[in-house]
Amino acid sequence: MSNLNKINLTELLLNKNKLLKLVRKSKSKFLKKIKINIYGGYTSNEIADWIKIILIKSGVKSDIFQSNWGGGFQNFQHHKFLSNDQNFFILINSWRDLFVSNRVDKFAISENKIINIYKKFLQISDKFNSKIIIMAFDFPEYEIKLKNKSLSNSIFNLNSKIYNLCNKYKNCIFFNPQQYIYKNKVEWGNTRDWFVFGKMISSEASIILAKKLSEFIYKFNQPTKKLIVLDLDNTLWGGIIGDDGLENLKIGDDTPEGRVFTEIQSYFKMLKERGLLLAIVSKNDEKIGLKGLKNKKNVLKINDFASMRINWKDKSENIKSIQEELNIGLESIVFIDDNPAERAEVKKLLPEVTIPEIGSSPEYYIQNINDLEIFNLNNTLSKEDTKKTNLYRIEKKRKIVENKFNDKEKFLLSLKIKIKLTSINDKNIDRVYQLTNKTNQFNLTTKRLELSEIKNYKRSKNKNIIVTEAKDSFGDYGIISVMYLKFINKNCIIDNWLMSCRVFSKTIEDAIFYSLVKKVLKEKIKYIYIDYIPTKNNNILKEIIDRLGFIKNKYNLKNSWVYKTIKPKKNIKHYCSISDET
Amino acid sequence: MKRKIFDQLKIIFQKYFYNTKIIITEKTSAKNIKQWDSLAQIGLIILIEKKFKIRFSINEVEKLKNIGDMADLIYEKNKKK
Repeated sequence: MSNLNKINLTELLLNKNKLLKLVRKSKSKFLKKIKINIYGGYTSNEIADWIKIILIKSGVKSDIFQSNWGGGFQNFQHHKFLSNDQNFFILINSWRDLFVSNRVDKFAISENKIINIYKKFLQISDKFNSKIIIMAFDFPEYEIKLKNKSLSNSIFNLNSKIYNLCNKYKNCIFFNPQQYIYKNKVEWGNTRDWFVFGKMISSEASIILAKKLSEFIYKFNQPTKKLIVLDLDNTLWGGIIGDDGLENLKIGDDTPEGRVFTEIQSYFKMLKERGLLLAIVSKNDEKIGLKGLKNKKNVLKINDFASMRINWKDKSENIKSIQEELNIGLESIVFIDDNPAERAEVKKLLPEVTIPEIGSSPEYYIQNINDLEIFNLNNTLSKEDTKKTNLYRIEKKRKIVENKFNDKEKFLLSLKIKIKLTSINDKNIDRVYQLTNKTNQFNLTTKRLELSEIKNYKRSKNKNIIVTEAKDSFGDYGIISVMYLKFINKNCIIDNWLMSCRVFSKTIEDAIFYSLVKKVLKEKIKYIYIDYIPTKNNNILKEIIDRLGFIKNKYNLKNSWVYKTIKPKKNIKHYCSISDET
Repeated sequence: MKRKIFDQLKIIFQKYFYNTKIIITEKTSAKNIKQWDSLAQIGLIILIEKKFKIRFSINEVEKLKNIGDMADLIYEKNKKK
């Protein structure tokens, strides 16, 4: 997509039909298909055409619906929603939609009415899991001041209200196209084209806009970015600490370059506060690198980083090792380094990692990263995520202590693990939903559930969802396990069981199962059944099922295991104190 | 001079409609070319403006019915520059 910038926009306009023909000819069976609905009060054909052309390059075939001309944003009130994850909406707003046609002295609709239309639209679309991109209202070429109202003021108000609305929905992006087009030094639109062709956005602006919209659409389908791996020298501060020395590094308010790097550090600090993890990979002697990180002028402090590799190994190797330590998919990692050679090395060996071309001028680093839109989606944030850096740091301390103990049992006892079991409730359902859909390793069936399905399960008479929280002497893990239980004819069936990988090998699963057995014994339940559906990620369960004392179901049902509560194969051993509040 | 403008226009039309076999004369208009619909008209006018670095007024746009008209107007506008 990036090579669009290098091509002359006029040449592109000349060749549009040729490119469209290529789109029509492309073999659709190899392409991912999506449906895009464009709603706007004026001609959007050009934008639609360019989106098709640009998306096909990323292997996406788009079927685009366009609303009728002249209806404005009011058109989409009547949209019939389809339940389809690949359904996108692009809503284009213009100041002209606010007026009776060609009458700048007469407003056609009140602000409140518009906001209500949006509210309704977002509520419904959220239920159907549609992805929405809303464009801010543009400003007119001249100021329009009515007796009691200025148009600019109205537009500011509307945009800020719609922005606030959008922030509540994770599948919604609000974006100011006019500002973006001006930044690219292209004409937004012109009045002649409006009066003659009914065209609000210029042909060149349509190309640039389509490129941006395609990026948003593409990003919606990409895995959420969770970790930013940062270089040190000339990335977080100006200069090379090993050569220039700590005192001569450019960071802080006293030099222009220092101010640039202060802003760069604060940008990453902001992303960290929003829930992304930061890590360091730097080619330096560890001692020297750490000295730079302890610099009082830094905005980012050592505690802001979940992990660090400061050594002379290849960066790809270090990133791989951080990835394993933090248990994060390579697709969720962004690598930031000023050195093109380092970027190329990582790109070659870890192609899944996102590596922005940040350029060679630090004052443009942030813009170049931001233009990729990888951090601008609302869905990168979750309450649990914002605490993550700390959790990983605590885990590291735990590991250090663990290595000091020769005896695993003594270590586990020293942790003083406490678990608390409760039934699902309104407070923990979001985390249950997250664990159900994100856990891959400790997950019996990898069955994913929608929020509504979880609510239905919870409501059923003979079913229950057990939620477990854990903490130890180092800190609080929060909610780490979810167990879906079904009771039929004095049998207990574990429909699914999942646990966060953060609490592996601490006998917490043994303790959870122990309390389940204790509970069902009281109700004279003789058998506990589980279905274990192996995947390439959940091998860990094979050993655990055996350790807990399950035996293969002798009626030879595939994947089915059974536990005899009265005469178990072995006794369950764990090192946790349990409080059962189910 | 007019000839040169006409030849340049011919290339624009052939490229835009992605068809080198299109027969283009001074009389060629939207009636003769199937793909020349209202959207193509917009695209063509904007391309011509960019290529010849001119701008048509609303009245002028309204008058452009065939390729000959276009060549004449471009010639007139270039002379005034």
